[in-house]
Amino acid sequence: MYDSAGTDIARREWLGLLAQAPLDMLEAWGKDRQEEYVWLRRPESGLAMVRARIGATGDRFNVGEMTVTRCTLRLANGRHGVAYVQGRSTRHAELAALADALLQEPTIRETLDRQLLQPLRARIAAKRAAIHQDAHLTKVDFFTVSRGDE
Amino acid sequence: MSTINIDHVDAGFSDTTQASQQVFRLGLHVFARPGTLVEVPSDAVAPKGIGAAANALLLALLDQDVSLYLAPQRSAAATYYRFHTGCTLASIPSEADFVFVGIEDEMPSVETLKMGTEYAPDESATMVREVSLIEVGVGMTLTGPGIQTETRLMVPELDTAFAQTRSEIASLLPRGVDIFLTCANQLCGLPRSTRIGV
Repeated sequence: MYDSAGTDIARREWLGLLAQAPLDMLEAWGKDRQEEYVWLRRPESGLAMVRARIGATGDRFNVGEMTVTRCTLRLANGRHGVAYVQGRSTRHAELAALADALLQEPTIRETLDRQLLQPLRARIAAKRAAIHQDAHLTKVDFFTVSRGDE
Repeated sequence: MSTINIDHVDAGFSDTTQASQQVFRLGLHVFARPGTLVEVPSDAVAPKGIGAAANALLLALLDQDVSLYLAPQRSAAATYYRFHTGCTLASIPSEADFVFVGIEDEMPSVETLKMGTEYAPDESATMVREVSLIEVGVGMTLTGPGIQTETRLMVPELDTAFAQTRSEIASLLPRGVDIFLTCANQLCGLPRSTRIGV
């Protein structure tokens, strides 16, 4: 599935999931994998400027810099895997890139989705819900008490 | 930001930091000692038609602040350098900071390249010229800074017209164009200050 800009929607989703994945989950999935690959770009860490718009409509401003680790690898069958992950964990980037390369293989995508992506979706959704819950506790509704004489 | 299709991109240096610095040091050396030949170690997989030394040099020198000109048929190489170095691509040689010319490529005339200004002579182009043979001790004479008396260099691709053009722009110093000559894994420097006699 591609959107109007030609982006592979499914791939965009799993790249996002892999970038946010906790390392222990990726490690549990990847530690015994036997695939061989070569590095096109070894994992390297750097800074990326995060920019945003308030309410997604205002002027773009710099939120701040974050550490990002990226890498690119190529499997023996020629498929490429890329990863851009938050933080400085080269192992995280490596496993995410490996998963990206494998997920592009239609024959094993379904299995991988079940083994890796489903638990990731659940974990990330739970984490998000917890943050939402915390934030919700501090929610304040502003209202004005109307005065009777007006 | 445009995307890059990396389907046919090969590997760069396995240790980018170390390798880039080693190659940079060699680049300094050959410009300080024009007409001497060094061998450039490199474990990068060079694009087709680009020698190991030229490739190592480009990987070491290019970054996101500079532009590279490659002959139009070298689109695979263009993708390779875009991916590994983040450089931009120039559509014509006269706008490029770095110009690579392969053995069969058409050689742009040196005086059409960027030569910098009196105030900023560093804003000039650097040419990386792949040639079929570099022989030291025979051929055209080189004199100038870094050469005690004179040295000789024979390169089949550099003809008298090239030497002529280069001597015409020599008076513009400090403006000018620096040239790296490469042949497979060999590297030789021809900085703007070196005079060529035939």
